[in-house]
Amino acid sequence: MFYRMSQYLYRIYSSRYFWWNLTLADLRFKYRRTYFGVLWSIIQPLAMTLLLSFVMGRMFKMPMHYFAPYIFSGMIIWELVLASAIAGCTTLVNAGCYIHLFNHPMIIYSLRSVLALFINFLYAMIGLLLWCFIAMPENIGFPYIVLPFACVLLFAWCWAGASICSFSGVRFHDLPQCLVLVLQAIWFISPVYFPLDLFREGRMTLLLDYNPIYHLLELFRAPLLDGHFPSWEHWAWSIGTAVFLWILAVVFIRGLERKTIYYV
Amino acid sequence: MEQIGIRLKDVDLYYSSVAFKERSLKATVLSFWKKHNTDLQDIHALKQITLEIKQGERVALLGRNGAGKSTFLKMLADLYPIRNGIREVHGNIRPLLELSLGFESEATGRENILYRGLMLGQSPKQVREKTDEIIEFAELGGFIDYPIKTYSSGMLVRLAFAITSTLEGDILLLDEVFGAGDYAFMQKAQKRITDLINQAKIVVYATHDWGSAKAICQRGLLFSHGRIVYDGPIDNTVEEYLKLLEAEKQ
Repeated sequence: MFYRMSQYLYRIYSSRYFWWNLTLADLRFKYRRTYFGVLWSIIQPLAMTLLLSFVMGRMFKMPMHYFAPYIFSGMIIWELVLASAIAGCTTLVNAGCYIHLFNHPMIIYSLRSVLALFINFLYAMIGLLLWCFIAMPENIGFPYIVLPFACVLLFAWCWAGASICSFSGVRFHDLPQCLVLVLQAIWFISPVYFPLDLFREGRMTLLLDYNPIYHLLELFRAPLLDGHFPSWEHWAWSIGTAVFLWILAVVFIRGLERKTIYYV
Repeated sequence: MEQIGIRLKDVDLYYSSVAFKERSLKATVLSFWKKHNTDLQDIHALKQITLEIKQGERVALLGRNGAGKSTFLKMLADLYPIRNGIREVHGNIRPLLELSLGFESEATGRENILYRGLMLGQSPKQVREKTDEIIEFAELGGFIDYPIKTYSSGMLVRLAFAITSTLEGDILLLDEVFGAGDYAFMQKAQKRITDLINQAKIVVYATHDWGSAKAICQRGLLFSHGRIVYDGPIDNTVEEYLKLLEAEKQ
């Protein structure tokens, strides 16, 4: 089994030029002929954050300088998770023209989609970091060191999730619609925009304690907004979820990959 | 050095029917009223294929449409999974199959040369070294820097053929004659194919044109309903094919 897995990983590595160039192509096509180009990755969430933090900050009586980066961080992380899952559903259908020509590991096509989204996320992270540097200089310090690890975990979540969705999506064409419903429900019970106090005061701490999204968000928010290291529970939940998603992804790849050519 | 070759033993290949089943709510509801069971069965596309192709052999695949020739080529290219048997292929495969697939429509011809070359396992450096040669062969002139969504189908096939036929490989898989643009280009492409065939260590060529099969290949495989019904010298295979066609007419 380990031999087969290492062979599979080697094939992903061997095709690196192919998937990396397709990722760059996706980024180029996305912003081709736009005036601001890749700056849209920062402008878009920033504009939405200003609007939402103004309205929701008043609703929840939260100070703007804290609530705006809270929303910004929630927005860019959630958007990446959502977009990866939705894009994953059609990834293999869109890659059909390649699948019928050459036998590359099919997981490279979800990698292509997620990498392009993740690079956009990293640009947006620059905006978030700048905001935090300016608005919360007192938080700058050693806890920032966890951010690259948090980004790697977030990427692992998204790639595994997109891969699961890609193999399911070619078989069940209703998946994107179902997924939107499920993810909307998860959004409502997660502190993506809603402040944590709302959950605690409403006696809904269970929705935080057992919600992997909350723990993942805290990996970013703890150092950036509160200036301290994320707790071990946040790491345990985030790493545990990544491991679970990858086990599921491997099961899907082993069981479904070879027959996928008949579906696309 | 490893000997280039192909070895197949008792290979069975099935097209999975579940991919083509109607699974809508409407179909489920209507199925309660349907008298006949219209469940699709898996298609047994290749049956008990056993053969060996050694380095230096040029093999033609003959047979009617749907006999299994293209499926056989895609099985060799490891695109279609086999259900039973052993499939061993030693050597790099260069597939000239479904040429017009595998393009990014928003990207330019030049960008697509890179993507297709990389898809076929080349490095960016190797592709860049051959880019000018590919552009010249495809005769696309200034169009090479336009998005390929502006290309005609003939231009697309020309570009695809120019890229795929420029890259290197040991085992050449050829499927049918392609309509690659005008007469002059066809002449040029024919010469390129001849060069490829001469360079390749193994050629497997699916065709309906037994004239070209006789010119290129020494060995022929005759396919019928997913089975190899004859395997021998190309002249004998053509004779067997003609007999088969006659028998099916009667």
